[in-house]
Amino acid sequence: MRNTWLLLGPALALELAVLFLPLFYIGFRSLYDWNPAGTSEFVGFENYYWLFTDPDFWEIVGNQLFYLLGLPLWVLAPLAVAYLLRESVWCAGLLRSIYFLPAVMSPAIVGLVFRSLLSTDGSVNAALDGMGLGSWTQSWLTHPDWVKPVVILMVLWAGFGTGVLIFTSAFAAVPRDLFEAAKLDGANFWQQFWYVAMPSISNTVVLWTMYQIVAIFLFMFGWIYVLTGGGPGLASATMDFSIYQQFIRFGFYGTAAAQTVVLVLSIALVPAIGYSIVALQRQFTGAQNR
Amino acid sequence: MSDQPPISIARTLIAFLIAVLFVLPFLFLIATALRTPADFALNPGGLPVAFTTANLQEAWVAANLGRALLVTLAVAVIACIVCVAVALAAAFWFRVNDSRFARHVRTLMISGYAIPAIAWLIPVFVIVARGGLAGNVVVAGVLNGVSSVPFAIYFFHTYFLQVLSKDLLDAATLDGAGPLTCFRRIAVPLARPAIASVVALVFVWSFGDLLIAATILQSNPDNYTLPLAATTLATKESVNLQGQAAAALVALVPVLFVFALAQKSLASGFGALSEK
Repeated sequence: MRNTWLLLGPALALELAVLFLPLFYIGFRSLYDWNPAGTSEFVGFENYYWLFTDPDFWEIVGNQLFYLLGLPLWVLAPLAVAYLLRESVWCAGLLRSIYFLPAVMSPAIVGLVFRSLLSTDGSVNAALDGMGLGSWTQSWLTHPDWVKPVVILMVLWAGFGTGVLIFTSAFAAVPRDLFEAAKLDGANFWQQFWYVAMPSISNTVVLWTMYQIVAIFLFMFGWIYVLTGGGPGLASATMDFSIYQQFIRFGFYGTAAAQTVVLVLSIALVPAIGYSIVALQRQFTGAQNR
Repeated sequence: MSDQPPISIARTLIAFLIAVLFVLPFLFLIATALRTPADFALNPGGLPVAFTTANLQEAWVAANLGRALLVTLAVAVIACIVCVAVALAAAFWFRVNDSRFARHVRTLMISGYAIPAIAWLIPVFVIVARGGLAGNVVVAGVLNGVSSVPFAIYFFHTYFLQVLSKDLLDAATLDGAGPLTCFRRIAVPLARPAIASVVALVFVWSFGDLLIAATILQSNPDNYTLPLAATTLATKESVNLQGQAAAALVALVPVLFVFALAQKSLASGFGALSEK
């Protein structure tokens, strides 16, 4: 069809100008002692050298990997609850809406709520005290050992409802006869879950897992910025938060650019990992069928 | 239905206990925003007894929340318009053109979703600031819109694959309709439910955005969005917990309205993930 570039053109131009071309610019600038307001000097890979020899950078990489430990929780919890809600639950639709509520809210605002709930003199500790569990009180957000697990639970809280929703629609596509047949064969609730439900929606599980991995790299800024400010020290900082701090707060433009390049490249690896898992799975089931 | 299995009390109970974890923080927020500081200090973990709207009024004035609400609405509306307009047209183009080349372009444009916002935002900010446009509401709105274009193209394209058959397009072309007419007369009306979903999603995402606001709008306190105004207020030492809660409450109310109005559209938008 002719003169249809009018349809594709605006989207293509905007995406290239805003999302893609800036990546090349930042890659180019990562080789400079970048000073956005003045002249920048070419320094080769020096920014990368500083970055990779900086213990702070490795602490942040360590944080990102630590957060990935939450992955089984973020996948299995909504999966199990979506399965639980599949039948025999009163008001299942209403419950799903309630779980889904955090998905529409600003992480920054919800972060504010949890910051005051979890502060040392906040309501959670006060409630624990009131119940006679005073020894359980913690400085949840300012203790280096506690802050990361707390963030993992926050991510669970925020993403749980979306996960339940997605797994529910995946379960809805599984033929009911499969479950009936398993029941007749004497499979109990959990056996049906592991041997019938899980295999039939494995694609959705892989997809949701990849989505959560990407989200840990992409969408943590609001949470960290408000909830912990990256602290105590750098104990809860993520890559996007640290790049923002280096650029906007501290003015380390060159290393911020180098760190951005590292972040983009590590995210590019995630789909590669996902594809190889799917390929392995296919090979495995193929071998079984033969 | 008669073959529905009976309600299981144990399962219902577990599900409701989980729901409590999602409701409690909001009840706490409302209670904190509406109780007097003295009452809170007396019993921070318990039920409030003394209520006041002074916190709300103070936060409203201190963080200029009335103006912030208008700015945030402007950002969100601009984002929705930009995103839906360009993504819908592009998705239609990809429905009509499925050559090898077009498919590669489509994959590229959808993969833009995985680019971290911080990566493109910093160079864009440098250029915007050089152009004297830092602190500009329209720029913030457009950037919010573009950041959702990859998802919207994916969503609209999937939808067109379901509702817009090749036969229908061929018939229209035989009747003399050009591609632009097909888009306006056939694709847009058919896509209404999908448009509702994308508008609802882009609205809540850009309404809740902190990163773009904190980068582009940071320099101009007159143009702070609600999340930026509320978090800026909260980092001031002088503001007590009740003031913070009040600011957070104001920022959440419009989103709750959208949620109540467009819950179905939102749910089908998020559900798109499972069909990939």
